[in-house]
Amino acid sequence: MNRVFLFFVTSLLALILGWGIGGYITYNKTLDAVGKIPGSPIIIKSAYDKSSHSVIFSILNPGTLPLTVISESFVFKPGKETSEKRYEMKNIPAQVPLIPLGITTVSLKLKEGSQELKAGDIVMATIHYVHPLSDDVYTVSHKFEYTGKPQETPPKEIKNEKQEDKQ
Amino acid sequence: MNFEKVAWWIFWLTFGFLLFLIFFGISLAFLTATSVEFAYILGLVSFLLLGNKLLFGYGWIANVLDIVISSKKVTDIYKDRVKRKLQEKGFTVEEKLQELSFKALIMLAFKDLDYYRYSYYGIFLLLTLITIMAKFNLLGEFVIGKYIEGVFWGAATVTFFVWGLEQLSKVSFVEYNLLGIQEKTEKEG
Repeated sequence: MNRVFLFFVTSLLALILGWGIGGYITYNKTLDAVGKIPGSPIIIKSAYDKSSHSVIFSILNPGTLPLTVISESFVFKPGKETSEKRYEMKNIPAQVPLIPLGITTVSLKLKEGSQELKAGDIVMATIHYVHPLSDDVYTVSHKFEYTGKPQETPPKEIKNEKQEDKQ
Repeated sequence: MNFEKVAWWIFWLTFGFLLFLIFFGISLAFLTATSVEFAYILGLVSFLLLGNKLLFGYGWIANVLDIVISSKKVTDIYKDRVKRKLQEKGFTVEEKLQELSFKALIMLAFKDLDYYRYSYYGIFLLLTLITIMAKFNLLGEFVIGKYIEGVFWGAATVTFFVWGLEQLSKVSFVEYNLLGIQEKTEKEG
Protein backbone atom coordinates (compact mmCIF):
# COMPACT_ATOMS: atom_id res chain seq x y z
CA MET A 1 0.00 0.00 0.00
CA ASN A 2 1.46 3.32 -1.00
CA ARG A 3 0.16 6.83 -0.54
CA VAL A 4 -1.73 7.00 -3.84
CA PHE A 5 -3.59 3.78 -3.14
CA LEU A 6 -4.34 5.00 0.38
CA PHE A 7 -5.74 8.20 -1.08
CA PHE A 8 -8.22 6.29 -3.27
CA VAL A 9 -9.26 3.90 -0.48
CA THR A 10 -9.80 6.85 1.87
CA SER A 11 -11.87 8.72 -0.71
CA LEU A 12 -14.07 5.67 -1.26
CA LEU A 13 -14.56 5.22 2.48
CA ALA A 14 -15.39 8.92 2.85
CA LEU A 15 -18.05 8.59 0.15
CA ILE A 16 -19.61 5.55 1.84
CA LEU A 17 -19.49 7.30 5.22
CA GLY A 18 -21.15 10.45 3.89
CA TRP A 19 -23.76 8.34 2.14
CA GLY A 20 -24.53 6.53 5.39
CA ILE A 21 -24.73 9.66 7.54
CA GLY A 22 -26.82 11.57 4.99
CA GLY A 23 -29.09 8.58 4.48
CA TYR A 24 -29.58 8.14 8.21
CA ILE A 25 -30.47 11.79 8.84
CA THR A 26 -32.68 12.08 5.74
CA TYR A 27 -34.49 8.81 6.53
CA ASN A 28 -35.34 9.86 10.06
CA LYS A 29 -36.40 13.37 9.01
CA THR A 30 -38.66 11.91 6.30
CA LEU A 31 -40.08 9.41 8.78
CA ASP A 32 -40.91 12.25 11.18
CA ALA A 33 -42.53 14.30 8.40
CA VAL A 34 -44.58 11.38 7.07
CA GLY A 35 -45.61 10.43 10.58
CA LYS A 36 -47.34 13.78 10.96
CA ILE A 37 -49.61 13.23 7.94
CA PRO A 38 -52.99 11.91 9.04
CA GLY A 39 -54.27 8.94 7.08
CA SER A 40 -57.80 8.68 5.75
CA PRO A 41 -59.72 5.80 7.30
CA ILE A 42 -60.84 3.00 4.98
CA ILE A 43 -63.89 0.89 5.76
CA ILE A 44 -62.77 -2.57 4.78
CA LYS A 45 -65.76 -4.56 6.07
CA SER A 46 -69.33 -3.80 7.00
CA ALA A 47 -71.92 -6.20 8.34
CA TYR A 48 -75.41 -6.20 9.86
CA ASP A 49 -75.84 -8.08 13.09
CA LYS A 50 -79.46 -9.16 13.43
CA SER A 51 -79.38 -10.18 17.09
CA SER A 52 -78.08 -6.88 18.41
CA HIS A 53 -79.79 -4.88 15.65
CA SER A 54 -76.66 -2.97 14.79
CA VAL A 55 -74.34 -2.36 11.87
CA ILE A 56 -70.68 -3.20 12.42
CA PHE A 57 -67.86 -1.52 10.53
CA SER A 58 -64.22 -2.52 10.44
CA ILE A 59 -62.22 0.64 9.85
CA LEU A 60 -58.57 0.65 8.87
CA ASN A 61 -56.47 3.64 9.85
CA PRO A 62 -53.54 3.59 7.38
CA GLY A 63 -51.70 6.54 8.95
CA THR A 64 -49.51 6.78 12.03
CA LEU A 65 -51.64 9.46 13.70
CA PRO A 66 -54.49 8.34 15.95
CA LEU A 67 -57.92 9.41 14.62
CA THR A 68 -61.09 9.76 16.66
CA VAL A 69 -64.59 9.12 15.37
CA ILE A 70 -66.77 11.81 16.92
CA SER A 71 -70.14 10.93 15.37
CA GLU A 72 -71.81 8.75 12.83
CA SER A 73 -74.83 9.33 10.67
CA PHE A 74 -76.81 6.73 8.95
CA VAL A 75 -79.04 7.03 5.88
CA PHE A 76 -81.35 4.22 4.96
CA LYS A 77 -82.81 3.69 1.50
CA PRO A 78 -85.59 1.09 1.46
CA GLY A 79 -85.42 -1.85 -0.90
CA LYS A 80 -88.30 -3.87 -2.36
CA GLU A 81 -88.94 -6.20 0.58
CA THR A 82 -89.05 -3.73 3.40
CA SER A 83 -92.21 -2.01 4.54
CA GLU A 84 -90.51 1.04 5.97
CA LYS A 85 -90.71 3.96 3.59
CA ARG A 86 -87.74 5.92 4.75
CA TYR A 87 -85.86 6.41 7.88
CA GLU A 88 -82.82 8.36 8.90
CA MET A 89 -80.64 8.59 11.95
CA LYS A 90 -78.43 11.51 12.37
CA ASN A 91 -75.31 12.26 14.35
CA ILE A 92 -75.05 9.47 16.81
CA PRO A 93 -72.34 10.78 19.13
CA ALA A 94 -69.38 8.50 19.65
CA GLN A 95 -65.84 8.70 20.92
CA VAL A 96 -64.10 5.85 19.19
CA PRO A 97 -60.32 6.13 18.79
CA LEU A 98 -58.99 4.51 15.63
CA ILE A 99 -55.64 2.96 16.42
CA PRO A 100 -52.73 3.88 14.07
CA LEU A 101 -51.87 1.30 11.42
CA GLY A 102 -54.58 -1.04 12.61
CA ILE A 103 -58.19 -2.11 12.22
CA THR A 104 -60.83 -0.91 14.67
CA THR A 105 -64.32 -2.35 14.85
CA VAL A 106 -67.08 0.22 15.29
CA SER A 107 -70.62 -0.93 15.96
CA LEU A 108 -73.57 1.32 15.22
CA LYS A 109 -76.72 0.48 17.13
CA LEU A 110 -79.89 1.22 15.20
CA LYS A 111 -82.86 2.99 16.74
CA GLU A 112 -84.91 0.74 18.97
CA GLY A 113 -88.28 -0.23 17.59
CA SER A 114 -87.24 0.28 14.01
CA GLN A 115 -87.51 -2.60 11.62
CA GLU A 116 -84.57 -4.83 10.95
CA LEU A 117 -82.82 -4.68 7.61
CA LYS A 118 -84.18 -6.70 4.72
CA ALA A 119 -82.43 -7.81 1.56
CA GLY A 120 -82.10 -5.05 -0.96
CA ASP A 121 -81.85 -2.26 1.56
CA ILE A 122 -79.13 0.21 0.86
CA VAL A 123 -77.32 1.65 3.81
CA MET A 124 -75.29 4.81 3.56
CA ALA A 125 -73.14 5.44 6.60
CA THR A 126 -71.16 8.60 7.16
CA ILE A 127 -68.43 8.71 9.75
CA HIS A 128 -67.15 12.02 11.10
CA TYR A 129 -63.65 11.97 12.46
CA VAL A 130 -61.04 14.39 13.73
CA HIS A 131 -57.26 14.20 14.07
CA PRO A 132 -55.06 15.95 16.63
CA LEU A 133 -53.41 18.39 14.22
CA SER A 134 -56.45 20.54 13.41
CA ASP A 135 -59.98 21.37 14.54
CA ASP A 136 -61.56 20.39 11.21
CA VAL A 137 -64.04 17.55 10.96
CA TYR A 138 -63.56 15.06 8.12
CA THR A 139 -66.10 12.62 6.83
CA VAL A 140 -66.05 9.23 5.19
CA SER A 141 -69.21 8.02 3.44
CA HIS A 142 -69.72 4.35 2.92
CA LYS A 143 -72.53 2.66 1.02
CA PHE A 144 -73.40 -1.00 1.04
CA GLU A 145 -76.34 -3.05 -0.04
CA TYR A 146 -77.66 -5.59 2.42
CA THR A 147 -78.21 -8.95 0.75
CA GLY A 148 -79.90 -10.81 3.59
CA LYS A 149 -77.11 -12.91 5.02
CA PRO A 150 -76.42 -12.46 8.72
CA GLN A 151 -72.70 -11.77 8.36
CA GLU A 152 -71.82 -10.07 5.22
CA THR A 153 -68.63 -9.01 3.61
CA PRO A 154 -69.18 -6.43 0.94
CA PRO A 155 -67.78 -6.96 -2.51
CA LYS A 156 -64.31 -5.71 -3.23
CA GLU A 157 -65.39 -2.62 -5.10
CA ILE A 158 -66.02 -0.74 -1.87
CA LYS A 159 -67.18 2.74 -2.54
CA ASN A 160 -65.19 4.93 -0.30
CA GLU A 161 -65.22 8.57 -1.09
CA LYS A 162 -63.49 11.03 1.09
CA GLN A 163 -64.81 14.52 1.47
CA GLU A 164 -63.04 17.18 3.40
CA ASP A 165 -65.65 19.46 4.90
CA LYS A 166 -65.00 22.45 6.99
CA GLN A 167 -67.84 22.70 9.41
CA MET B 1 10.72 43.60 11.23
CA ASN B 2 7.82 45.97 11.28
CA PHE B 3 6.23 44.23 8.31
CA GLU B 4 6.61 40.91 10.09
CA LYS B 5 4.77 42.21 13.14
CA VAL B 6 1.90 43.48 10.99
CA ALA B 7 1.71 40.14 9.20
CA TRP B 8 1.52 38.32 12.54
CA TRP B 9 -1.21 40.62 13.77
CA ILE B 10 -3.21 40.03 10.60
CA PHE B 11 -2.70 36.29 11.02
CA TRP B 12 -3.89 36.27 14.65
CA LEU B 13 -6.91 38.42 13.85
CA THR B 14 -7.89 36.11 10.98
CA PHE B 15 -7.30 33.08 13.17
CA GLY B 16 -9.42 34.53 15.96
CA PHE B 17 -12.20 35.35 13.54
CA LEU B 18 -12.04 31.78 12.20
CA LEU B 19 -12.28 30.40 15.75
CA PHE B 20 -15.26 32.64 16.41
CA LEU B 21 -16.96 31.41 13.23
CA ILE B 22 -16.31 27.78 14.19
CA PHE B 23 -17.71 28.39 17.68
CA PHE B 24 -20.73 30.15 16.16
CA GLY B 25 -21.32 27.30 13.70
CA ILE B 26 -21.05 24.61 16.38
CA SER B 27 -23.45 26.47 18.68
CA LEU B 28 -25.89 26.89 15.79
CA ALA B 29 -25.60 23.18 14.96
CA PHE B 30 -26.36 22.31 18.59
CA LEU B 31 -29.31 24.69 18.81
CA THR B 32 -31.00 23.79 15.53
CA ALA B 33 -30.26 20.06 15.62
CA THR B 34 -33.14 17.62 15.48
CA SER B 35 -32.99 14.66 17.83
CA VAL B 36 -31.16 12.37 15.40
CA GLU B 37 -28.66 15.09 14.48
CA PHE B 38 -28.07 15.69 18.17
CA ALA B 39 -27.32 11.99 18.61
CA TYR B 40 -24.82 12.28 15.74
CA ILE B 41 -23.10 15.32 17.29
CA LEU B 42 -22.99 13.54 20.65
CA GLY B 43 -21.23 10.54 19.14
CA LEU B 44 -18.87 12.80 17.19
CA VAL B 45 -17.80 14.86 20.21
CA SER B 46 -17.42 11.93 22.62
CA PHE B 47 -15.32 9.90 20.17
CA LEU B 48 -13.22 12.96 19.33
CA LEU B 49 -12.36 13.12 23.04
CA LEU B 50 -11.67 9.38 23.08
CA GLY B 51 -9.50 9.40 19.94
CA ASN B 52 -7.77 12.70 20.65
CA LYS B 53 -4.44 11.10 21.52
CA LEU B 54 -4.50 8.89 18.43
CA LEU B 55 -5.46 11.71 16.06
CA PHE B 56 -2.67 13.99 17.25
CA GLY B 57 -0.16 11.18 17.76
CA TYR B 58 -0.46 9.69 14.29
CA GLY B 59 -0.82 13.14 12.74
CA TRP B 60 2.43 14.20 14.41
CA ILE B 61 4.31 11.10 13.22
CA ALA B 62 2.96 11.48 9.68
CA ASN B 63 4.02 15.12 9.68
CA VAL B 64 7.60 14.37 10.84
CA LEU B 65 7.96 11.53 8.33
CA ASP B 66 6.58 13.74 5.55
CA ILE B 67 9.24 16.40 6.23
CA VAL B 68 12.00 13.77 6.34
CA ILE B 69 10.85 12.13 3.12
CA SER B 70 10.52 15.40 1.21
CA SER B 71 13.91 16.73 2.39
CA LYS B 72 15.48 13.27 1.84
CA LYS B 73 17.71 13.48 4.92
CA VAL B 74 17.45 12.84 8.64
CA THR B 75 19.07 15.61 10.63
CA ASP B 76 19.42 15.75 14.40
CA ILE B 77 16.59 18.27 14.58
CA TYR B 78 14.02 15.64 13.74
CA LYS B 79 15.69 13.00 15.88
CA ASP B 80 15.63 15.40 18.81
CA ARG B 81 11.97 16.12 18.20
CA VAL B 82 11.08 12.44 18.36
CA LYS B 83 13.28 11.95 21.41
CA ARG B 84 11.63 14.85 23.23
CA LYS B 85 8.20 13.47 22.33
CA LEU B 86 9.14 10.03 23.68
CA GLN B 87 10.57 11.53 26.87
CA GLU B 88 7.30 13.37 27.42
CA LYS B 89 5.53 10.05 27.19
CA GLY B 90 7.64 8.41 29.88
CA PHE B 91 10.66 6.95 28.06
CA THR B 92 13.04 8.39 30.64
CA VAL B 93 16.22 6.40 30.04
CA GLU B 94 17.98 9.06 28.03
CA GLU B 95 21.15 7.11 27.29
CA LYS B 96 19.18 4.44 25.53
CA LEU B 97 17.29 6.96 23.46
CA GLN B 98 20.58 8.57 22.40
CA GLU B 99 21.85 5.27 21.01
CA LEU B 100 18.76 4.52 18.96
CA SER B 101 18.40 5.32 15.28
CA PHE B 102 15.62 7.46 13.83
CA LYS B 103 13.83 4.35 12.60
CA ALA B 104 13.82 2.79 16.05
CA LEU B 105 12.60 6.02 17.63
CA ILE B 106 9.65 6.17 15.22
CA MET B 107 8.89 2.52 15.96
CA LEU B 108 8.86 3.34 19.68
CA ALA B 109 6.42 6.17 19.02
CA PHE B 110 4.16 3.76 17.08
CA LYS B 111 4.41 1.20 19.89
CA ASP B 112 3.42 3.82 22.43
CA LEU B 113 0.21 4.63 20.54
CA ASP B 114 -0.78 0.96 20.22
CA TYR B 115 -2.45 0.84 23.65
CA TYR B 116 -4.70 3.77 22.80
CA ARG B 117 -5.36 2.27 19.37
CA TYR B 118 -6.53 -1.05 20.77
CA SER B 119 -8.81 0.52 23.37
CA TYR B 120 -10.26 2.96 20.82
CA TYR B 121 -11.05 0.29 18.24
CA GLY B 122 -12.35 -1.99 20.99
CA ILE B 123 -14.85 0.60 22.18
CA PHE B 124 -15.86 1.36 18.59
CA LEU B 125 -16.39 -2.36 17.94
CA LEU B 126 -18.56 -2.58 21.06
CA LEU B 127 -20.65 0.37 19.87
CA THR B 128 -21.00 -1.24 16.43
CA LEU B 129 -22.24 -4.47 18.02
CA ILE B 130 -24.78 -2.61 20.17
CA THR B 131 -25.96 -0.67 17.10
CA ILE B 132 -26.43 -3.83 15.05
CA MET B 133 -28.27 -5.50 17.93
CA ALA B 134 -30.52 -2.48 18.33
CA LYS B 135 -31.23 -2.37 14.59
CA PHE B 136 -32.31 -6.00 14.65
CA ASN B 137 -34.51 -5.26 17.70
CA LEU B 138 -32.53 -7.56 19.96
CA LEU B 139 -32.45 -4.92 22.69
CA GLY B 140 -36.21 -4.47 22.68
CA GLU B 141 -37.14 -0.90 21.98
CA PHE B 142 -37.02 0.46 18.47
CA VAL B 143 -36.67 4.00 19.81
CA ILE B 144 -33.22 3.25 21.25
CA GLY B 145 -31.95 1.89 17.94
CA LYS B 146 -32.81 5.12 16.17
CA TYR B 147 -30.56 7.22 18.41
CA ILE B 148 -27.83 4.61 18.91
CA GLU B 149 -27.41 4.64 15.13
CA GLY B 150 -26.81 8.40 15.21
CA VAL B 151 -24.13 7.96 17.89
CA PHE B 152 -22.61 5.20 15.78
CA TRP B 153 -22.38 7.42 12.68
CA GLY B 154 -20.76 10.20 14.72
CA ALA B 155 -18.24 7.69 16.07
CA ALA B 156 -17.66 6.31 12.57
CA THR B 157 -16.76 9.80 11.32
CA VAL B 158 -14.03 10.13 13.96
CA THR B 159 -12.89 6.54 13.41
CA PHE B 160 -12.49 7.29 9.72
CA PHE B 161 -10.02 10.07 10.52
CA VAL B 162 -8.19 8.00 13.15
CA TRP B 163 -7.85 5.10 10.72
CA GLY B 164 -6.80 7.40 7.87
CA LEU B 165 -4.07 9.11 9.89
CA GLU B 166 -2.84 5.78 11.23
CA GLN B 167 -2.58 4.35 7.73
CA LEU B 168 -0.95 7.53 6.42
CA SER B 169 1.75 7.48 9.10
CA LYS B 170 2.42 3.77 8.58
CA VAL B 171 2.53 4.15 4.81
CA SER B 172 4.95 7.06 5.25
CA PHE B 173 7.12 4.90 7.50
CA VAL B 174 7.20 2.15 4.88
CA GLU B 175 8.08 4.72 2.25
CA TYR B 176 10.86 6.10 4.45
CA ASN B 177 12.30 2.60 4.87
CA LEU B 178 12.16 1.93 1.13
CA LEU B 179 13.98 5.19 0.33
CA GLY B 180 16.91 4.16 2.51
CA ILE B 181 17.71 7.65 3.72
CA GLN B 182 21.05 8.00 5.46
CA GLU B 183 21.19 9.59 8.88
CA LYS B 184 23.52 12.52 9.28
CA THR B 185 25.23 12.88 12.60
CA GLU B 186 26.24 16.54 12.42
CA LYS B 187 23.72 19.18 13.43
CA GLU B 188 22.31 21.47 10.79
CA GLY B 189 20.83 24.74 11.77
